[in-house]
Amino acid sequence: MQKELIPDGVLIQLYQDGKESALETLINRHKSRIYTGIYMLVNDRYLSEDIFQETFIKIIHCLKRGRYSHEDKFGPWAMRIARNLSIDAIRSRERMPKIVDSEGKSVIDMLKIADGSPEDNIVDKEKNRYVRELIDQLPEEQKEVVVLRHYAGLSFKEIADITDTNLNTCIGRMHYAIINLKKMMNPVYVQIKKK
Amino acid sequence: MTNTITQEHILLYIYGEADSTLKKEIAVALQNNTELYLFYQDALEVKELMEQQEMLVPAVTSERIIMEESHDSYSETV
Repeated sequence: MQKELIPDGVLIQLYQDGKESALETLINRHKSRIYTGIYMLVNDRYLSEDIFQETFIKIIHCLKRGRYSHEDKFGPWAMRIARNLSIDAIRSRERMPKIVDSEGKSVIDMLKIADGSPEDNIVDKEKNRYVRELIDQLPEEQKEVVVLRHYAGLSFKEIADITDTNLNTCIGRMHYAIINLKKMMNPVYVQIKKK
Repeated sequence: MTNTITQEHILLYIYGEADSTLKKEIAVALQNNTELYLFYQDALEVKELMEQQEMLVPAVTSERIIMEESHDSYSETV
């Protein structure tokens, strides 16, 4: 027999009534998608952890003050907070001066390469970097739809709500994203880019 | 009323957001329209690649800190 999940709205009510463990269940239920969504948007593990924490701290404050009114739409609501914090973080990162070495390479990027644990699989890393590069080459609006649909698990309708657009615009952006990604995945295109 | 199936409809189908009527129409359209079928293949290929990436994203490690923060702020409010 399949065990029925307690709806998010009920967990929130329990938490607001003082049952702390309800929050833990809520975090465990949504942490992976929210964190992955943040990580794919900002592309920095440590910054993602910070934004993830900040997201849940905001959520906790909202819940404690009784300012949550989205019933069982907790996931999209939480992702909207995470998305807004990610955008703020990206903007402030862009304003920070970039430290580069004599060849113009970012020192931070070099540190990231050295930071990998020895057991990390090289093939996985290569694949990871390849997909990451493809996504990062997309125009921001297309990238956002891809990340929110694939990694945050939101429906197109929910993405449209979060990004203050409509369903057609949202699907249109995904459509162009697919065309662009497919073009970038083409070996001929990759060869041209390398030259 | 039948829809003229577009590439956007195909996306709804691939991502599990098409209703049952639309699904049937898409199935027919995919058999009869090569261009749509090629787009369907491309979109599936991209989706598969993205799903592989999902497995490679590091796991979040800071949820304990959030629970501690929550507990502290709860103590303050009672």
